[in-house]
Amino acid sequence: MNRLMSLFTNNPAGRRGYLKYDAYKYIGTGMLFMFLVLLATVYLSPLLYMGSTALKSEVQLSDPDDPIIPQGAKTYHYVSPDHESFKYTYRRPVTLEYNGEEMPVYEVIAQGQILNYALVDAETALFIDTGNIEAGPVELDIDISSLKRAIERERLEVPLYDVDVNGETKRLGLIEKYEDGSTLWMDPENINVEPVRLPIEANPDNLVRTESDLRLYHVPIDGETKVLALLESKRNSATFVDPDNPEELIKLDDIRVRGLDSVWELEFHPENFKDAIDQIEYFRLFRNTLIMSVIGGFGAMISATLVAYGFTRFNIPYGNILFLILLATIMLPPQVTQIPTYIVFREIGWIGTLLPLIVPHFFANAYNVFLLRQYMMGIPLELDDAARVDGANPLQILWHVIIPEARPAMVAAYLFHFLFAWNDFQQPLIYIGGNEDNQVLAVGLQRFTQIYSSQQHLMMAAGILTMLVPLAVFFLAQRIFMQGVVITGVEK
Amino acid sequence: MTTEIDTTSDIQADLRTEIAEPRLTPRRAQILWGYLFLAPWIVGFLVFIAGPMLASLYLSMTNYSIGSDRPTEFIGLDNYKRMFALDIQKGDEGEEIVFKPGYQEWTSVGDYHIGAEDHRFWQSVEVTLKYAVVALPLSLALALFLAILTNIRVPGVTVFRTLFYLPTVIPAVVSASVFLQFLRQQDGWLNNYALEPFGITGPDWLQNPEFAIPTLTLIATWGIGTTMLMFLAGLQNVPTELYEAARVDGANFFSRFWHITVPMISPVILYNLVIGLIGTFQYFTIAYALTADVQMGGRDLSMYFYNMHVYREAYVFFEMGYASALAWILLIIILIVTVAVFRTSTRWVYYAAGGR
Repeated sequence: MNRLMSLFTNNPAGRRGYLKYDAYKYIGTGMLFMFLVLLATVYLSPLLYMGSTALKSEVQLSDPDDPIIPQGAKTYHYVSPDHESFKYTYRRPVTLEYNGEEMPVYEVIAQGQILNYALVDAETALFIDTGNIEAGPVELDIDISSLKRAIERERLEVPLYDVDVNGETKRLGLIEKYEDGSTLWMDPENINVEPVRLPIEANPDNLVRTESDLRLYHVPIDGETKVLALLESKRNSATFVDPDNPEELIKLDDIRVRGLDSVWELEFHPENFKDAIDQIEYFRLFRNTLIMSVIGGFGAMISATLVAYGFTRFNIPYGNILFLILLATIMLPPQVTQIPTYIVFREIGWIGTLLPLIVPHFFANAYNVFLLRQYMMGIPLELDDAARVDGANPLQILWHVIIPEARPAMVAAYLFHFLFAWNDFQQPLIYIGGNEDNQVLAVGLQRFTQIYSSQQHLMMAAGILTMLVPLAVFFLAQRIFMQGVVITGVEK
Repeated sequence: MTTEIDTTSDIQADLRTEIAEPRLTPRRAQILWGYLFLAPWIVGFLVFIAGPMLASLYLSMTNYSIGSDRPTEFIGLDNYKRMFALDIQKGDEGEEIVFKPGYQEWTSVGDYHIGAEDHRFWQSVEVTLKYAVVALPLSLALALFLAILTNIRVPGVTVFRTLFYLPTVIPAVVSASVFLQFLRQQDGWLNNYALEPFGITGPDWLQNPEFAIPTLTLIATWGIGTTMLMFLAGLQNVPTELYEAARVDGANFFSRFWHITVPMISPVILYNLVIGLIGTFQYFTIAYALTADVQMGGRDLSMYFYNMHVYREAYVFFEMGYASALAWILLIIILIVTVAVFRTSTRWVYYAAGGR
């Protein structure tokens, strides 16, 4: 009160004192809050890893500078100013210009020699000797169809075009343009095929240019950092393209590309989840796990409710001793009972089915009975008595009085079992064995992890898919759940 | 009233009259109803616990093996003898040690080399005890620390409680697969983001046998949610008057913690310790999932836990007789440790109001 009063007086000392106290309190809370945030972040960082890795691609993961948040290296789509060409030896049919006309030249064997004669007139078989044009045309007694055209080898660098041929885009090399607008083309993938003359013109827009996605880097130049695309890198030098001015190449000496920072942009790969679903056959595993957990949880809840009701509402001889035995079973390692149980299950053919993972839970487990007993002891006996006066039998009392009251604890028991069953690994490992048709998620995931250990992204996606249901259950029923934990634990 | 009738009447006659004309007194009806409701557990106990226990005790004295041509024989305590049989040889450096036939080296102390008929048994006991001694106290301490932190009134404290509890509901297999990557030497986040910035070259958490127990301890911190909640409930039951009185007497935070908090929550510590010990002896999934790809138990069997040895004998080799003996020894170890903890607990556990 004095402190409060001092706020309104002009006593500077008192006022400062109060503020100081207040400030300490807020600074303390604030620091603690920050500390908790930090601690929670560190503590849950494996989850962050999981989420981020599940959304990355294999390429992103293999990048040594891969950032935490799924990001891909930003690239620049570079089109080189030069077009692509193809080195081609063109076997050009020789022609002779005579009287302003192009005459085809043939190889004619005469006097044991191969001579080149140009055909002047096919009907009269009039030829002209290319080596001796002045001699004028001569008539040769020769079958023109048996003659071979004279060939001249010409080394060309033919520019490549993307040409539309009969509705199909083909990459062809342009050999020659003719005056009538038609063009002669060769196929670089099939150089032995004769060039084809097409009735189209060569469009410079269709020239093939080198296109590539170049990775962008923050490059320091003259004290400035510019975003440049890396075209080529050598040991100590590199050539860059400036996206703002792609015509000009920037060649830098004395630069190490590995030391440069890439430009990153967000890039998510949710398709990992689809791949993981396909590869681990998620839906089959999910179905089996769900059947096991739902039915088992039902059995655990019902049986624990009945037994807890028996322990709390009926004064039976040796009840306390039975209850102690029940609690003692918590300490019993399952291995002791598991081996004979396994042998029996094997004999009756249950190994490889879900039955060993469901049926035993219909016989009440100590934790759940304890949880429900603690809860039921808090339900007033007067409610039972009132019902009994009305003529209700114990079953009716259970149904109409106890169950409505004990519902939160029953839900907790159900959820405990559900989560236990969903997350359990060792029992399915033993009982399902190699029968993949009845496999459950925990074992399926472990097998998958073992086989695909190099595919981190798929492993993490599969992991998230496996823990989805437990997490959802936990968040939806958090309070019931956490209260249940405390009841089973502390009251003991 | 009813007891009088019960004791005086001849049982046979009583039964006969009951069959002839059912005469249920309210007391008997109650007992009958009570047992009816207990029936699921009683049947379950007989079929799934008591019966199998006796069967496994008997099996542990046979050489029974599924699918083996060997005739099953009663062999008395031979399984137990095989388990514990040791052969100690002194050998100088460089000298080749020759154990009895069938024995393999388990460990060495100085010049003494200890061979065992089942060296995996001893190895698994060693690993399990190491883990119990290292991981359990650290997990308890961290759980208590988190409980104290989230017991302070800070905005959003329930959110923090949920976050710290969260990893507990994650399937152990999933945790293992995350840590398999998180702890990788080259590009794991722990080495990359937590150690490298401080100039520490991170160890090979998963492959180096010397780091087996530290690695599992690290992973164990992800499963402390339940323990934390127990501590939290315990802390909230400590009467605030005690703290106020101590503050008036001038006690600082640490002495308040040591002289008030610890004694007041010591029953919870005991409970968590016992549950943790039992859990440790049954530890399986994480170690199995971490090491299944190379050999179960990891390099040099540095993550080979007792439960894995039972699993291997029973469900890999189907040596059910020997595995039963292992299981019974496990039960005996758990009983001894638990009884020992409870014995010492009278010295350090404080029960308010005279205990329960």
